[in-house]
Amino acid sequence: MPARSLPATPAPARVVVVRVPDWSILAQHRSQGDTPPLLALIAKGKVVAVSPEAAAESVTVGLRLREAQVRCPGLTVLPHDPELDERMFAPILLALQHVIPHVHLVRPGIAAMRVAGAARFYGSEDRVLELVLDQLAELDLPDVRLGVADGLFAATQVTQATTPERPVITLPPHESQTFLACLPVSTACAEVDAPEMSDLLRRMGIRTLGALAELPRSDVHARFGAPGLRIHELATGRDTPVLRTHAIPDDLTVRVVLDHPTNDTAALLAACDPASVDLTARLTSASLVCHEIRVTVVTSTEVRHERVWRHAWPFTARDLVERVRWQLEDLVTDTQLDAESDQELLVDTVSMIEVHAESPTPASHHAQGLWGERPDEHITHTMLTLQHELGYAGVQVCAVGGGRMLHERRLLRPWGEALPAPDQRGLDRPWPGALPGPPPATVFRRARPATVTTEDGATVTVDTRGELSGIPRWWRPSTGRRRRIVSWAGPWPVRQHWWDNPLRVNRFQLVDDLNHAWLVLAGDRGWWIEAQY
Amino acid sequence: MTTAASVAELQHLLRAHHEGTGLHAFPVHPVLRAAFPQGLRSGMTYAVDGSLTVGLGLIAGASADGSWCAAMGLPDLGVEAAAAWDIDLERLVLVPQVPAERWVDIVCTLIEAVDLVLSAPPPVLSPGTEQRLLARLRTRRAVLVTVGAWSRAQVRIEAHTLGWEGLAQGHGLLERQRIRLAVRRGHRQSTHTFTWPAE
Repeated sequence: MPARSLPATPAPARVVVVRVPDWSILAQHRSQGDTPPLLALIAKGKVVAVSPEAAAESVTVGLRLREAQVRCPGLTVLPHDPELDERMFAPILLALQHVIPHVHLVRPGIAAMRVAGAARFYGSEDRVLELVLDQLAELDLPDVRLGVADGLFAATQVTQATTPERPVITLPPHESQTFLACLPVSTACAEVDAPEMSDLLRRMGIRTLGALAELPRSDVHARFGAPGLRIHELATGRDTPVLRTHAIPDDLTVRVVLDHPTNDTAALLAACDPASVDLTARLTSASLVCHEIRVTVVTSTEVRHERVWRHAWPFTARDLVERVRWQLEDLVTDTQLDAESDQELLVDTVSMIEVHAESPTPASHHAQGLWGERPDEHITHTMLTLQHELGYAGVQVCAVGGGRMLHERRLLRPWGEALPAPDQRGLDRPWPGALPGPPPATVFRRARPATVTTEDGATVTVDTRGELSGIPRWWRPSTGRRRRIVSWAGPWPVRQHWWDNPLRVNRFQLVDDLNHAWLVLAGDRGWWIEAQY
Repeated sequence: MTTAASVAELQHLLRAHHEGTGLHAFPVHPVLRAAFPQGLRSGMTYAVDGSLTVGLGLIAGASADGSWCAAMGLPDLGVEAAAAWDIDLERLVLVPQVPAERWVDIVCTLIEAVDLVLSAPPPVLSPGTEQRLLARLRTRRAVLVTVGAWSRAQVRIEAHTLGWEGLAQGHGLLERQRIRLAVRRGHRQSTHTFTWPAE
């Protein structure tokens, strides 16, 4: 019989684990307000979460998307958003913190806490569980499972053994190992993220954690390395005695609930003004800097309109209000477009506006100049005034990016939005087919039609092997007179996105008799002007 | 005190004096220095006809010197060409769409913040509006450069490409162009030729 525990290893702590089943689905439901019952969330083409209704149709986690849709044709598929899971879980962590101060986030949907101290404080473990359930009852969760055992792993496994009829299971002290002994090895292998090991162990005849625990620790270590050692520790109940406390982010959300829903933008913005000042003041007092905000507008018909706004510089209260204004303007435009298509006028009033500071970072991380210093106050002020008159995209900043087509190389962003970082502009990557030589001064946003003909007036075409049907002698833009081509070169093939919406064009440079130089493209459907020098 | 230091100090004094009397000028790109030995005089309007390249070149020197620039009404501006002139894109603001009736207002707003405005030619302006625009340019010490013919500009520049190097019949690659500038200030006219990109 191997030693059950080494003298140097402290005993695992008593842990209570709170698990909310199907958390990803529930989080989606809580954020959207309304989700179809047959729902699956996918990541990298595989199902990662399934609603109970869809599970009843035998859609399981790990299926490929295609197969899941075959099994359940009415399935609604949404991309899995881990950030959403975590964001929606924050209120639950806060509620748990009211009972036990240090909460450990295992993953969104599962939280763990040490229970020993709390049990001493409140009187007993059962009392603690009661208080936890009371706190969670206020959050309107359909199903919560609690498990108490020695060690995090055992307690997590205990919550898996719970059922809707018996949502709380408490293992008495020192009985966790008996419980673990009958679990299959795959549970521990999944815990250490080594699923292939479970197959190997089964083929070796080691099916349960009990069987694994009886092996000498050094042998398991020698055969399986560090993951093996960790599995052995889990199997023998020597779980880590320390739970890392999860710092729950401060609530950096301001919410403006309107007693009298209105669609008057000025009134809405006036209502948002104190809230945005409050949010920036809270950020400042916490020495945080925020480059990203999420604005949610809820209309009286319960339609949510959510958008994330990024900013090149830390947000000020005025910036926040401007973002809300633009979002409201977009909303009005969208509604009008909808109204035109539906032939009915939608007069929707806004009942709530929520502004949330996304991923704030400590101000000390932002040395001046890291994100580009904010331009002088008066420049920002002037540009905001112009944006106010011309619209969000009316004032732009620009940079040069990578690409084959010239218009792709021009990166434009509305003033105040961050341009891609220099290393993400793709300039250092090879772009076969990119244009060498001096860049043209005029790059048309949309290529303009043109004709290029030979001496006898026939349109020049380029075949798949790059052979020309004749020598280009004349060319004519769609508006304008025919001009003589003095010199030319080409074709330079540009092939892009052959897998999707392929672009196959041949580039030519032309100089005409006015000494104007042009960059023209020969495509399948005629000639186009890309740029003028 | 060394001679060099005192000369520098005198130059500084002289410059401060010029600035005080409104003779402030923005530097121009070295390639265009022969055509604009004084630089771009603040408060003036320049019209470049025939080449957006030259228009970009006019604001390039000041941009490299630290001034903010704006390009308005030029949605098809080649950002790469601007970068090739050493225009600092971090200090370039684009206002691509400008309604004709707001043209003057937008120029006046822009020069509150930027020193040079590169613009598409203005719509027809009434003499009063034009005077107001010029007065604002003078007080803000800004420069307006329009691309395209504008007969009311104080300095009118006609640009002609004399020829391109590098391109032949069916082969080669555009390398550089020779540009002739005819610069007209009032009744004085001067002609200059230069190569771009410079060899």
